[in-house]
Amino acid sequence: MNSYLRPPIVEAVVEFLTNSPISFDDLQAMSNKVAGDYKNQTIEKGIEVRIDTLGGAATIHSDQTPDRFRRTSDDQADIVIFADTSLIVARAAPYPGWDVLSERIRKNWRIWSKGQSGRGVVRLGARFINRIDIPINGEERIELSDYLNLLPQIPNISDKPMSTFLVQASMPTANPHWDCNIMSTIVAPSPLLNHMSILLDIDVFRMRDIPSKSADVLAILEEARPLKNTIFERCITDRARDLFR
Amino acid sequence: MTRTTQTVAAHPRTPTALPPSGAAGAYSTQMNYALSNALTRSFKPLGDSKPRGSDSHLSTLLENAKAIFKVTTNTVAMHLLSSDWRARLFRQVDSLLDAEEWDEDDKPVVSGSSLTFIRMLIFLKARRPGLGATNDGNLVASWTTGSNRLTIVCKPDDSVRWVVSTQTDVGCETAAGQTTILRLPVVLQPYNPQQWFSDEG
Repeated sequence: MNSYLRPPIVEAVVEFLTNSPISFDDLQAMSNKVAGDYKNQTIEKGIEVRIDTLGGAATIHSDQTPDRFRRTSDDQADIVIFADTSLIVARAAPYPGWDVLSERIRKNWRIWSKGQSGRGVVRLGARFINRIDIPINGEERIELSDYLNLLPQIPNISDKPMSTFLVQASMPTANPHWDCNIMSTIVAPSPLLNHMSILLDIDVFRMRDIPSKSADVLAILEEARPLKNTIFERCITDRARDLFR
Repeated sequence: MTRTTQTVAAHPRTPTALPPSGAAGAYSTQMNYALSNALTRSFKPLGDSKPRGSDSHLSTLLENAKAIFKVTTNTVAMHLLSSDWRARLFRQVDSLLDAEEWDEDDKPVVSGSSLTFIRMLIFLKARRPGLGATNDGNLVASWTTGSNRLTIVCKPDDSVRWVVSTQTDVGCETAAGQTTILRLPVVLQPYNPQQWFSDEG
């Protein structure tokens, strides 16, 4: 696996999903326990709105969803969310590497996972959102295949270049327990001047044969690392790699 | 059927509106934040809800402004000089937006100004500037070399107002103007801008 000087990861997210809801009080207690690492707390209120158009006139139904405790570090780069059915640990850029992220996951997992018995995790996912910032040196168009191997196939409609695109695929991975979603699109406008930016979003997840014991769940999370790395490397070209070195 | 090469416009004019993905929707709100950060850069207040100082509302606004500045910076952090550079910049912002020091009649820094500031620093490859704010919520970057000084007010949408003060053979000379980030190297060229932007890591 390549190690990059400037990894293009804008957000790395690991999520544990359970089918055993956690009470508000327990979530609050968990959130309080991580206050040292995550100074800022926001209690997120959610509302689910459904619009029913069957039978003529539209009717609107709304339900309040359980509160989530969202905490961020002082530099806003580390995020943890304690929700009624999930734990999310995320890291924005600059990405410090898997080992650092893994340690933060471990600390939050200990608080969330309720001892050795675990919480009955039904989905485990690692999502890495990358943004490839390509310098523009006066060009009017960028050849996508110079940077990406995940491309749209477009018939000959116009001589002019695409203004945007979106490609998404879901498939099994080489590991029979894990699947993936991969997506690429344009980021417009680019956050950098004189650049155009492409998003490459890689989500590897497991919903089968997840161990019930708490310690075993963390061990299988390590399987996600080579999977997401391999997918990333296969989705980009050497010219893209040169941008991160 | 013939196929075109897969080219994309270098300056796409259509803002990306990424449709929600059912297959990738498990991260729900978290991903909305991520996509907001990555795509539209439309940031929600994220800050600490703990009030400090005499005015809790002002304190919350200042904490939000700090959070938005940091989130904006993190979005392009891989292009900054070093993590230490970023950490020192954040300390400057924390100090600037300290509720105990802030004049309650001044407007907290607006998100559009933070974005212009960060885009400008990366574009100019400039060393870390001194930091201030105008009373209408715009960040002010300043560089001093000897008795020569450059001050840039960062307004939303890449708009900047610059003021130069330099020593010449005939005494102090000042100049000022308003432009966009992209034009800054051109309009500052007569004043040798590298004297302010180079050095330091």
